[in-house]
Amino acid sequence: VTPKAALMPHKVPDVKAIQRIFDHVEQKPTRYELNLYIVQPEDDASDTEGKRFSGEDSSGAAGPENASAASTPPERSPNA
Amino acid sequence: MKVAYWPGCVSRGFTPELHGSMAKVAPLLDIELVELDRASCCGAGVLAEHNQELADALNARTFALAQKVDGADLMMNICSTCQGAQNECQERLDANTEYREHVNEVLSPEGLRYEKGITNKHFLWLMVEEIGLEEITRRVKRPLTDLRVGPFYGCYIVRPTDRMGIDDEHPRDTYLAQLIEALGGTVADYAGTHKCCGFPIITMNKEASLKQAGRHIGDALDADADCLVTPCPLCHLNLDLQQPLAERYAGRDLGLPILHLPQLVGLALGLSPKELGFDKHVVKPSSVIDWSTSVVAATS
Repeated sequence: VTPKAALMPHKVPDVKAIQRIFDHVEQKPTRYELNLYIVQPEDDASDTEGKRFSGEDSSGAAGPENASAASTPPERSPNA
Repeated sequence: MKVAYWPGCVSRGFTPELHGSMAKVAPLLDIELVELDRASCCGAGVLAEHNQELADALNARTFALAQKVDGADLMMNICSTCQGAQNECQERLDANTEYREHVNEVLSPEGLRYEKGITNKHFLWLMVEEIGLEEITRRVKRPLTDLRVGPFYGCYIVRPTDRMGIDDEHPRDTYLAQLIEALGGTVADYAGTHKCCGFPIITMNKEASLKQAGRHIGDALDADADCLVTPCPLCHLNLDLQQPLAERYAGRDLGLPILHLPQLVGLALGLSPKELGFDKHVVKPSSVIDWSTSVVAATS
C-alpha cells in the first residue's frame, strides 16, 4: 500500500464473485443460520442458567488472538 | 511484520485520510501492509441482521483471502466496526464445523476456503500486543507533550468483552489511554470514552444520534481535551463530519478536532499534519496543528 494509492477511490476488482455469493445465499428458500446464544426453548432456559458451554470446536481457542471463539457454545446443528 | 490488511470500506470512501495515514505510519513501525483489495464490506452488523449466512459468507471470504497472503503474521484492520462485525462472524464460523463447511462450499468456486482460527487484530491491539508500548515510545520523535487527548473507543471494539478478548491479561478497553501516554500525551478523561457515538441510529433517529455525539464532544471539551482520538471511522463520521449539526442539537459551541488513530500515532512519529490528511477533516484540527507547530519550533 502506498500513501498515494490509499487516497485513490477503490473499486473491488472481482465484484462478480461477490455478486455470485449474494445471489446464491439470498435466493435460497431456507436460511441456514447458526444461533450461538439461544440453545433451547425459552421455557427451559432457567434450567441451564449460568452454565458454561465448552464444545469440541471451541477447545483451544482461548486467548485474545482467537478471542471471537473463546467462549462459544458446543457443536450443534445450524437451524436447530 | 507482514499483515493481511483490511482497511474497510469507510476508510477507502468517506475517510481516505485514515487509510492514507495508515499507509504512512506503517513503515515507521516496520509493518508491511498487504491490502486485501478483493475483499468486500464486512456488513457492519447490519447485513447479518438481514441475512446472517450472507454476512458470514462474505467475511469468511475476506478471512480466506487473508489466509492466502504469503508470509502474513495475521490479519489487521483499522476499523472498530469491522473488527466487531468480523469477530461476530468468526465466532459462528469457528464454533461449528458443519456450518463452516456449508459456508466454505459457497466460497469454493473461487478456490477459497476459510480455515478455523484466523488471528484478526485491530491496529490498536497490534501496536500494544505485537509491537509493544515500550517500542512505540522508543520510536516517538515528537512526544505529544502537553497535548490533552480524549480517547473515544466507540462500542464495537469494547463490547461484548468476551468476543473482543478483553480480560485482565489483555485490558484492550484501556489500550487507547495507554497508547496516548506511551506517545507522551495526556489522557483527557470524560464520561463518553466507552460509549456509542450514535452513528448506528443516525438514519432512524437523527436527533438522538447527534445529541449523543454532541454530548460526548461537549463532555470532552469540559475535560479540557485538545482533541479526541478514535479507532473507528464510523465514530469519526458522527463526531467530525456531523459535528456542525451535532452542535445544533447539543445547543452549545463545540469545534473539537477528532483524530483517527494512525493520525495521532503519525504525529508522534514525526509526520506533519498535512501528510496525515488533517486538511480533510470537517472540524479543522487547528489546536493540534498549532500544538504541533509550537513543538517543532521549540525543538528546532
